[in-house]
Order: sequence, then C-alpha cells, then structure tokens
Amino acid sequence: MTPESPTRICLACYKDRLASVCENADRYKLFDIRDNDIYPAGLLSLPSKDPMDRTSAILACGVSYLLCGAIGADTRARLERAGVGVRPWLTGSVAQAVSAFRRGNLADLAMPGCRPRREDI
Amino acid sequence: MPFPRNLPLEDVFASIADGLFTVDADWNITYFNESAQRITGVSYAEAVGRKCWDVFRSSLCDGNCAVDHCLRRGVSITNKSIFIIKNDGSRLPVSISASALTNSDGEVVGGVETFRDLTEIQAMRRKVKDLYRFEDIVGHSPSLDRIFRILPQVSSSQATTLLLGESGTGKELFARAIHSLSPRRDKPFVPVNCGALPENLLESELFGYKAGAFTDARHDKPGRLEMAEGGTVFLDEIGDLPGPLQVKLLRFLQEKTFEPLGGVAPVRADVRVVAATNRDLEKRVADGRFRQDLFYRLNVVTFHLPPLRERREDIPLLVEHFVEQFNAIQGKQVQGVSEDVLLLLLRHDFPGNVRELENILEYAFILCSSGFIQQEHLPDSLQAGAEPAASAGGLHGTLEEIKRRAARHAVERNQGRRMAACRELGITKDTLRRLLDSKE
Repeated sequence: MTPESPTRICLACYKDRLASVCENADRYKLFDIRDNDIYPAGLLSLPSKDPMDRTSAILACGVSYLLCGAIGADTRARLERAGVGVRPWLTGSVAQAVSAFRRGNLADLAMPGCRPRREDI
Repeated sequence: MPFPRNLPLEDVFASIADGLFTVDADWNITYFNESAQRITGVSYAEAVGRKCWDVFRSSLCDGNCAVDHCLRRGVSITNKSIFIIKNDGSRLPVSISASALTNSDGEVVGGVETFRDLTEIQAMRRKVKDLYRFEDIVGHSPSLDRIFRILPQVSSSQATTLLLGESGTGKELFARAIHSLSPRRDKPFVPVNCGALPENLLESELFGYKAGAFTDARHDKPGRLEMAEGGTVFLDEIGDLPGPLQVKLLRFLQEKTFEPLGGVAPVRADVRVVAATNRDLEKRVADGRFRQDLFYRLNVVTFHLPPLRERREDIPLLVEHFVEQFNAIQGKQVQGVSEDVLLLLLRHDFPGNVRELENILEYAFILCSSGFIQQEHLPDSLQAGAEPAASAGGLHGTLEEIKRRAARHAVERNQGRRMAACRELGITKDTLRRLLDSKE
C-alpha cells in the first residue's frame, strides 16, 4: 500500500497570524497534511510585494491551497488560473487556520462581513 | 474649541459622510458608524468587538497601521491615500485620517480613524484628465492653453516651427503633435538629434550620401530629409548644429533642395521642418555661434514651452498620466500617489521638468507594486525635503515659530511672489506681512 501523497497548504501570514490582506503578508508558512496529520513544510519570507513574484513563489513550492485573509480579485484569479485553490476571507492564528483546514471547518474563521462561498470551505 | 457637552455624539458621528471607527488599546473596534458600514460592507454588529485589521482590511494593516503610527509618535495623520479590499475582492481607494484617543487624565485609551471613499473623486479625475489632453500632451495650465489654442492652425500651415524650452519640457511631443495635426500626418515623422552625433556623421545622416563619397560608401544612402519626404523632420538640439551644416540647412529651408555627400546634383525634398532647442538661440547668434539668417528662417513660428515649475497645476494630471502609462507597461496596479506625496511633488522645483517627474514615478514603481505610492517609495533626494502629512509631526518650536517658518518657506517656494504664497497658505497678505516681519 502506497502512502497517501500530502496536501501542501500555504498560509499568507503577518507574524504568527493570517495577514488581514493577502497582499500585505510578510511571510508564507507551508504545511503538509498527510494521513490527517500536520507537518511543517517550510517558511518563505517575502521581500518582494510584487503579486507576480508572490504567485511564482507559491507555485514553485508546489502548494495546493492558499489560506489567507482578504485578497484582491485579480490576485485570486491569477492563483486559481495557476491551479492553486484559494481559501480567502479567513482570520485567526496559524494554528487555528491549519487545524480548521484539516477538520474542514474554515467557515468558523470567516472575517467579519464575509461569508465564504460553498466551494471556499 | 470645546465640543458642547449636551450634544449626542453618536448622532453626530452617524450623520457624517465619512466612515469612522474607534478602537481600544487592544485594537478591538468599539464604534463603527453608518458610513463605515456602507463603505466596507461590514455591519455594526459584525464589526464591534473584532480586531480592526479583520474589519478594515486595508493596504496599511499588517505592519503599517496608521493608528499605531499616531500612538507611537504622538502625531495625527491626515488624508493618506490607501485602499481597502471589499468582500467581493474589489480594491476601494480611500483617504484616511487617524489620531490617538486620550482620556481626561491624558492616558492613551485607543485611536480613531476616519476614511473617505475616493472612488468618485478618482473617476472625476479621470474624466478631467481626458478633457485636458491634447494629442499626447497633458495639461490645462493657462500657459499650455495658449499653445493648444493656436497649435491646430500652426500645424495645418507649412510654416517652419521653432520650439524653445528647457530640457524635459516635451519638445518632441509637441513636434509630434504638430505633425499629427498637419495634412502631412500620413507621411513620415523623422526625428534627428543634432547634438548627439559628430559633425561628419550628422551630415551623412541628415543629407545622405552617394556611393563612392568616401571609402566605405559602397551604396547610396538616403538621409533623414529624404526619408521624411512628404512628412516632417524634427531637428532636436538645433542650437548645437555645427557651422557648415547650418549653411546646408539654410539652403534647404530657402530652396527645398540639398546635396547629399558626394552628390553632384541637388535633390528636392518636400519636408516640413520643426526644430527645437533648450539653448538661448538669440544669445548664440549674438556670440556668432549660430547664423542669424538661419535663426530667422527657423523663427517663423515660435513656441516657448513652459517649464513644469511654471505650470504646477498640471502636476496632478501628469502624475495620473504616468501612473496609468506605467501600470499598462509594467502590468501593475498602482492606484496613484498618496496625498502627501502629491503635496511633495507640487512643491518640488523640477529642474528636469516633465522628464524628471516621469523618472521619479518610474523609480517609485520599482518599489511600489500596488496601492498608492507613498513617501518611502520616492528617491532619497525627494525624501530629504519631505514634510510629513502629519498635522504637527516633525515640527518643532512654538506655534508662532512654526507659522513664521511656513510663511518664509512659502515665499521662497514661490520665488518671492507674496500673493502666491498667501494663496498657498490660505492667509491674507496682512497676515503674511505680519509673519514675515515678526522676529524669531
């Protein structure tokens, strides 16, 4: 039996919480979810604020899902076109976000005034 | 002036058109007025008690908070342009003001931030910009208006035209406008920089050469005049044209013919000449460095292009023009410059004129990918003289001393024109005189 391939998620963070605006994030934290467990997979500090550079960084790391706060429609479209699932409008600490993703209840972390779309959850 | 104690503050805040929210010392929202709810799309019930960054979601949240800046430095911020992200993913441009809130004991208990939706203002600015555009030239200052009024008639004539102006005032843009407004618009526009080439090369570039004219001339080569047949040749830096070429150009202007290098017969060309220089041609004529007869031939219609410092009112339009242009070229989403940057640009003298402004914005685009260009995105040379948007931040001395300094600086900025300084400061000439006359 082959082990299940991990799902890599990326959190757009400011310090130890999700950045309120994805484009403001100063670091990306990467986690692998394998066999229902969470494994840290790296940290990307982000000197460049250029949205295209950031998309490239996410793609280069093999990320499947980006978890973030508010995100511009154009940034989101660029990521989704590149095959990255975007789970936006989230707030909370890094631990809360990872745990909610694993348990499938990201809706609990919705930002005020933002009800996630069904496909976002 | 104290606020009347018996007025219902909540009703007052609810009635204002600007969004307003307050936070406690832990960044929890404690008040969120109706305009704030309308602009952000977040209701009062959802906002109050939540962290301000989760509700406001602006380009300053996550590390550059305006209220935090006020708390740390004890200043207020006014009219800083930023954007917020609404829950449909659209970026909404807003202008914010912020300051700390203190209780009756002087202890900081939180902060207040107001914000104004700039969408309509930006849309109006775009409309205005289209109104004040002439070909590719952007501006609405009286000095440019005068040129715009007569440019179409001059363009439709065949007259040789001389453009005088400092470096960077857009002489080539005007030359192109003259060409594209003329009946020659479907024929070539050929620019030549007379100051950029050595004399021999310039001669062969302008007039061309015949095979055998010199060692490596194996084939005939047409000059720029010939290449511009039916169209317009733009002779930039005409003041630097070497003496022998001045004679040849004079002949062309008089007879519409010229002789290529090594040629034995004159060549006829139907070409309109537009020339430009940043030199004082009359002085060069007086010094014997420029032929008087050529000067008079060129000086049929002359336009003096104003330097940017004499048409400062065009700076906002030019800024928008370049921001739009760089966004298109570089695929970025810069929304403009913040109010304090615009103020800084309006006070700069721009010795390099429009080209300098273009270069400043191009530099800022390297550091700013989206949102509004802020002071920290500007070149160091501009930042050194930067005055913060903070209403009192960075200012020292008594209020009277600050006023006196402001009056003196305004007069200096306006090259001694006191009425212009009064207009800039919004004070009467009597007040200005009092401030200038009083001793520090």
